[in-house]
Amino acid sequence: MTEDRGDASDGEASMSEVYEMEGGAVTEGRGVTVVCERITHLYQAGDEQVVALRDVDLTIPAGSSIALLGPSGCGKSTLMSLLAGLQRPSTGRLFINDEDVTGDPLAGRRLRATTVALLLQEPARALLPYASPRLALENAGDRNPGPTLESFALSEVADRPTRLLSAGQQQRLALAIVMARTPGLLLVDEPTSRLDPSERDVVITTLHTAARRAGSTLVVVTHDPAVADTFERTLSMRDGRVGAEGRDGTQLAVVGADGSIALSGEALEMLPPGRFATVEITAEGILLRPYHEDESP
Amino acid sequence: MRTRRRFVVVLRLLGRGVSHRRGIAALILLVAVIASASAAVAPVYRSSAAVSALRSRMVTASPDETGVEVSGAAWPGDSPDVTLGKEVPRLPLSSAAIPGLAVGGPTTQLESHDGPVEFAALVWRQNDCRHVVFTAGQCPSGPHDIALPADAAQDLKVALGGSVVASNLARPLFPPTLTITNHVAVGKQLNPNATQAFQLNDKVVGIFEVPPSQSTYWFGADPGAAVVSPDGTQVTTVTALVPRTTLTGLPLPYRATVTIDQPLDWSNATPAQAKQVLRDVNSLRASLPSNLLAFTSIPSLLREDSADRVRLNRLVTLAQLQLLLLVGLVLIAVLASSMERRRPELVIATLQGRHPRSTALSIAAEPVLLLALGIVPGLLVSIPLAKLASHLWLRPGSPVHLTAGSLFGALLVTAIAAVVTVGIGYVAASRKLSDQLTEDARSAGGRSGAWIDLIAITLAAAGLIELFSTKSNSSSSSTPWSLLAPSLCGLAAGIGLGRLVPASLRPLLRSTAESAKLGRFLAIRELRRDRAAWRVSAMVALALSLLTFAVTINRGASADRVDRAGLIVGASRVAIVQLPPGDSLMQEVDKADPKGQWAMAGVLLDTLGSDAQRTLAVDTTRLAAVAGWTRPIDGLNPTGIKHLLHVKPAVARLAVPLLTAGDVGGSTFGLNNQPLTRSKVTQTSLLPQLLNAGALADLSSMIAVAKPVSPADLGTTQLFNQVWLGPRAPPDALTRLKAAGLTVVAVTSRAQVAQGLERLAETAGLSGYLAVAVIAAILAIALLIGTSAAGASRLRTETLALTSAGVSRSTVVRGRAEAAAVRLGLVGIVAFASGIVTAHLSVALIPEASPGAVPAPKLPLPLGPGLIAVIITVVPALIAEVAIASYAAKRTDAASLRAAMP
Repeated sequence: MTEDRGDASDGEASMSEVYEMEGGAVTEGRGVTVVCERITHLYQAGDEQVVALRDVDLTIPAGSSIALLGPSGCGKSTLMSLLAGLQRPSTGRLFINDEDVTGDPLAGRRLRATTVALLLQEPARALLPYASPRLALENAGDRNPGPTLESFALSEVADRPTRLLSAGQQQRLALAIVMARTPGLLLVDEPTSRLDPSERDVVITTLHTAARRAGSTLVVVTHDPAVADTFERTLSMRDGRVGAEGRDGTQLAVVGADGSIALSGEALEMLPPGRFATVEITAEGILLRPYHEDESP
Repeated sequence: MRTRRRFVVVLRLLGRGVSHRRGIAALILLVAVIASASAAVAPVYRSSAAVSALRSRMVTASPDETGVEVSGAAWPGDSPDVTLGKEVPRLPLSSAAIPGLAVGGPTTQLESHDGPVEFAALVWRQNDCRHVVFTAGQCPSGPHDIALPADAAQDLKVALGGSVVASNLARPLFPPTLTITNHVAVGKQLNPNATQAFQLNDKVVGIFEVPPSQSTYWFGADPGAAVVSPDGTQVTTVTALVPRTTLTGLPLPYRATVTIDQPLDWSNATPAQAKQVLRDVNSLRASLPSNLLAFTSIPSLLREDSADRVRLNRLVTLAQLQLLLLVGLVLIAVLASSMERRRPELVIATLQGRHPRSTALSIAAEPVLLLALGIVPGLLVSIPLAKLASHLWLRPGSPVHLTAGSLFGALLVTAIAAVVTVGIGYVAASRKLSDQLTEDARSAGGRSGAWIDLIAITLAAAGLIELFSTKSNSSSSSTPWSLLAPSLCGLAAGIGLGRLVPASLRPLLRSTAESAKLGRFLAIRELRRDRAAWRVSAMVALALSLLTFAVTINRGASADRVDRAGLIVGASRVAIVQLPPGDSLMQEVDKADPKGQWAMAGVLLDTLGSDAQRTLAVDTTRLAAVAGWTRPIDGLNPTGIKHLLHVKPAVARLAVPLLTAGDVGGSTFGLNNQPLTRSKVTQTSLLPQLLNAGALADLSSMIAVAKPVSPADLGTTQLFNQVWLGPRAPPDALTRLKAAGLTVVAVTSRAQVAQGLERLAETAGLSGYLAVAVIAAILAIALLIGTSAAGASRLRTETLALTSAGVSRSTVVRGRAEAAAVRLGLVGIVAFASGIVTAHLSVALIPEASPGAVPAPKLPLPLGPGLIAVIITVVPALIAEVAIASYAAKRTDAASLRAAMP
């Protein structure tokens, strides 16, 4: 993250700093609370069924921001698509503001029309290539796009066709367009994957600022730990589970519905899969130790 | 205000979207124009062809058929004014006809003091001469006025103010004691005791010209036509106009004919006018008193025309449906392709949770607008197309104008296309987001494409089965819907190729992959991979099958027309001749053609009021050398004759014994399989049978058995001398006939008749079918070339990849050329086979291919024209495709690739 900051232009504040600076104006009440209860999702890959998510329990308070971290195939995007209502979980329940949306086949479309906004990894795929940012915003319902363009640093390219914008500008425009609808839940998939560090910082800052201003609940999928660091919470996913959660710089293991715990990489080196471990309950908590054969009574 | 603002935003987006996708937008607009034109051109052509066919039929028909003649007799005690003179003026022909009255026919004669006798028809024209062109004087009005044609006045040597005497014949027209040598005179007896002496002294008050346009039919008969008497005298009947009061001077009983002058110029008639005439004629018939009979073929001609029009409409509609099928497939392909360019809109709509229906409607707005914009240009384009077809195949001067049907057709096609567009949009909008982001139309259309393929193949199979099952018990009354089979079979064959060939090439792909034949490997890979090209090729197969079918059927029908023209005319040319009194026609002909190689004597029977003139007898010894039937008739074997006369097989069966009469020694010749002794065959027994059978008689036999005819028997029957001129007739044949002493009055040629047949409704229908097939072929080839050009950027990218891997550009191009050659070659072969097979199966089901033949014959259909049609369409398409591939391969540098990126 330090190196990344170093790439930013001189005199420019860090992402976290900018976030802190501009994050003050919060709109209360727009964000939605998301609750996942033992969500499992399977999909068909050829002749095989693949478990994409396994017993995911998760609560995202209204107005909070969460980064989903994890390697490819860990289930981040699947979780994102479930939250966006593009798919329905195989089992488990999903609540949006206490409303169970699991059983309603039309809930996803309704949610996207009213509450949930999804930003794709490549924002150009959801932008009209021939429309200028100004026209795109007007089309999204922004009757006075000038201030919006300014706040998203797009004034200079306001009348340029979208296809001629840089990747960062396209990302910001896509964000501006979805924010024009002030969504209660903003889902963003890999917002910085194709950006250089300076663009990345601007986009992330803009993202946090916009979400804070709108009071939206923000869920971002990212590979980039530096980006994840800017969020209140980070959820690390592995093999379809939420294995750990980071809060204020502290990594917390998450106990699964079946009582399992996903170990961090360092802990796994000490306790690789297939090994036995002893679990001791002490006054300070639970002590997990590798079990050696010579320790047997 | 908000709505207006929103509307402005949508309009701006629409404009920018169209500009951004101008390539596909232009393609949609082009296809929309073609679709509208395709829907509009057929009604325009049908309308034009209907008028052309009506005019051709009526003009081709004899004057007796297209006129109206009212005949009756007056007897002692009858008042002619009551029966004829009173009735005629009130005949309800309204403005379509002007009444006239002909009295006496050839039994009246005109004499002057200095001139010879003229045989005359007296026509009542009291103060009503609107259709008479007077060169001097005026229409007769007084009781003893008369107006004469200029040539009659010259013959009679009278001028305006002079006097003539009209009387019934001073002598019988044909002396009963006359020995017939080379002619037969016949007639029907209306009133054998009609002639009593009467005489009128008239003053010539007008001299007029018979207008050329009315010369062939002015008062129900050719007023200047020569009537051949058995003694060879040329009797010319002239028409003299007399006032109505002249009738009162005629003695009773007399025979009279009321002839309705029909002022409608059939060569410029419209269907509406024809309907009015039909109403008038029917009204006239209903109102006639019982002692008057109306003779006309107008109702039957118009009935035939109506039936022709139904067939014409059906045939052109069938062709149009096949064209629209192709246009529809092209439209679907283009619209599906356009949906690929709408991916951002689809994705945005899905992300915003919009209902697919709403998305489909909004996304379809742009193509639907373009489709709508194509209506007017399409209608405008249909006019020159129809004019071109009209110029090529219809009667000159046939009106070409837009009809309500064409507008309705264009609107209907556009509406259907709009619904299809919304449907395609709905399917695209209903797909999962992941599919919308990744799949293109070609891969997404897999399942629906399979259904379309299955439906097309099923329909084609059903059409073929229908054709197989109905060809044996065909009825020539209608064109079956199974004639949609050509295009369906072509489409099915193309689809089948697109599925079978890639699958069957798998082993070859493996073997060539391991061999050094890289170009061959690339070709096979291309054939296996490029499903889109196969799909377009299936449309080409549809069009080419239709074209092959249309060309083959038209070629067969054209040959049939030549045959029919030969049967109608009899020889390459047939001349009506006059000969000096006392001379023998056969001797004169023998003088002109002593070797008997190119000329033949004949007699033409013309019965007024009957449907047509027909040859009654010919010199059968010269028939084989002279008769103009297109196929050899050596030996006049019955099978051959039956084949030649397939239009009326029953006629052929009867004609054979008559034609061979000269060969059986003159003892007997049969009719209706009843051997008759020649001596017993009299004119009265033979002639009706000949007329009923439609057979030819041997002229010398006829002359030998014919009896003299009394003048009263002549009635409305006339005989004319003919000379048939065969294919070996020298260029100066007519001069030689003149040198032999014959006067040539008129000449009819087979080419002329064949040309007339080409203008009839059935030919117009087949031509319309061909026109539609040509349009379909051009459209399909244009689509093929267009899609090749549109895929050029893909070819560039692939070429770059292949050349980067070390493959030479020439190898890449060769591989693509081989693939295109195989694909188009196979498509051409299956399309040709499909067209030929369906043509052979269905030719007997198309009454237009051989009109009048019941049951419709199995025409010999040539393969050549269809094959040529396929080759001249496939080869340019192949050249274009290879040229595009070659061009794309040359432009694979990074800069040009970047420039090609959207």
